[in-house]
Amino acid sequence: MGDEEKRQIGIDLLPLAEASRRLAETSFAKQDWSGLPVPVPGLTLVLEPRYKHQALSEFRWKECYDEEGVRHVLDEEQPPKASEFRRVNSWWNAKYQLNIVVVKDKQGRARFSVLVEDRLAFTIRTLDAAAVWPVEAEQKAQKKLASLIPGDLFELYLLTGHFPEISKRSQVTYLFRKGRPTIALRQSEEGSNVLCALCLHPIGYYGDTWAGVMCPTDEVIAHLLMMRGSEEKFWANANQHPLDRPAAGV
Amino acid sequence: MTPRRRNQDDTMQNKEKPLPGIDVLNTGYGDFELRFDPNKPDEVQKAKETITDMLKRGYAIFVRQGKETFRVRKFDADKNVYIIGSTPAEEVPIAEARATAVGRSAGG
Repeated sequence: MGDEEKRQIGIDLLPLAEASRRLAETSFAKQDWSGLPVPVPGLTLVLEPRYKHQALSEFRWKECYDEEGVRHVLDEEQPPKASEFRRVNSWWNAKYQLNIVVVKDKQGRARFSVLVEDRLAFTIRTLDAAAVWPVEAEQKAQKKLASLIPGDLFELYLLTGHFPEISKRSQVTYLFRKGRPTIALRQSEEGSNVLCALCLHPIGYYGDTWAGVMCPTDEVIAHLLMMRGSEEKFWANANQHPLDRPAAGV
Repeated sequence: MTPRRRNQDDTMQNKEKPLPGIDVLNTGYGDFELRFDPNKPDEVQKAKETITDMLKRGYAIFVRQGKETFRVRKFDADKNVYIIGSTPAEEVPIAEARATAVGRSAGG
């Protein structure tokens, strides 16, 4: 109790977004130019495989404090038990909107199970992840984006969270979206042919969300620059989700 | 998708010419601006070291030349130029560029 009384909100106790900002400040001196990803309670932090601070993905918060400074202990996540089944195949069933998973037990007998991807759960987890984004970072990123695209498209982005751009190389139309994967489509006189949703996050992201470790408009900038400057790498590095998958965010 | 009616060249850019440098997309700041004065050798040296380090760490650096955006392939620390292609014409002096750097990216 004594320790808790000493801790002051804003000094010893910080919201995640403020922790993100301060970590970025201190890490910059150590040449971590992009800042540091901040783990979020209850979410899986997935990092780019060659990112040097991989240990952050193993970090678990043990306690948190509410707005009044009252301490709450967070339940420790139990490590998953070793399964007696081995996954041998899985695929997406568009008709029923679920994943079919085929597993085999130790005797080699096959079974199947279904995994449901829930769009609402994606949305709610993304809201949880938003706690790490400083509002000032998003505002700064929007200012940067405004310098990269025509004014009318930036207005469209502010109003709807989306803007399109056609690649000069491939003539593919990209619909860049705030907080969601970029949609690639081909437009012709006959109509639009949707190719896929491209999901890519600088440094990393929070599993089963649409949230990256950077604020949403930073991710839009990353997608836009990669499309303009290295379109083939954009496609190679991004996960390509069919549009009917919840991960596509449509 | 119909673009909103407005002058296409009307970008919301700062009209004053800023110092060259790199904007690094950053978790805590949106983007972190690294600027240097091309007339100050110590600042130029620091910028060169930073660019070299970023490319070594796998950052993707993008520069604009005219209306095009290019990904930097290499950095020539002797000539102080970003190399964006294989010919001498495809070099961009760091003193004339405001680049953007993006950390290694993972498909989500």
